Amino acid sequence: MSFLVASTYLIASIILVVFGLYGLTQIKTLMRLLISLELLTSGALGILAFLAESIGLHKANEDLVAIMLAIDSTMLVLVVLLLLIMLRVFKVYDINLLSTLRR
Amino acid sequence: MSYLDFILSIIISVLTSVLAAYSLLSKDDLISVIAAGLSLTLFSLAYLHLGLFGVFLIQLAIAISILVVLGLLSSTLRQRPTGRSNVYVIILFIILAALLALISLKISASYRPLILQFSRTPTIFALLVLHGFLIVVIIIGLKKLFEVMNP
Repeated sequence: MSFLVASTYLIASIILVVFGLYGLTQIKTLMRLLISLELLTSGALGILAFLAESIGLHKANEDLVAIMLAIDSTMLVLVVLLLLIMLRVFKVYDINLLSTLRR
Repeated sequence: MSYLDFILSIIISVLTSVLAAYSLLSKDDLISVIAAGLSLTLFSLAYLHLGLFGVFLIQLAIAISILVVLGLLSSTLRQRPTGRSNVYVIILFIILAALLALISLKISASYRPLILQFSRTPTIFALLVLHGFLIVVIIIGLKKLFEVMNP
């Protein structure tokens, strides 16, 4: 039964990765892009954690996933800073317009 | 693990997927951010369900930070909040508050021996700090929410 539960969460992680990839390729707003990135990262780490759990590596990779989540939160802060700079300085919200900012 | 755990895992997985899809397809930025935050919060419950407590805490903190930081950012970008989206926001915040209360009860139930041995376990200190952080974040989020609803 533990294998079934871990497999269910593994499928949910794969769905999150698919949604994240869809958002990264189809959505052009920077905030939605950031949300897609978070969904992709959380799904990928979920795949790592639940795959290890489903094959019996109980808690073997807990520290690794925790460190990667901490790196992910750092990336979130950096992208939010970039978003704030774009809004305050350039008044640009669409990432397609970023290429027009090159001098 | 029992059949109840399997059903619970299916419910968490379906709700996580639906909220993630809604966060990408919603037209409103604030609703989208809240849906993504709720999706990741539910996803963190999956870690708790399997006993990965450290990963659960970090994932929960990330979900809450996404909810608050991006929510505040998107609320400042909104031109004019509509009445319908306000109802959604209130419902989602109530769900989030109930979810956090349930998590707190779950943690208290799981860590009752640690609370009884408070002086001998430094782990409970980190847990209490995280709860304090979450409470502060919720208060700031609700304050900003009321500002958005009543400009």
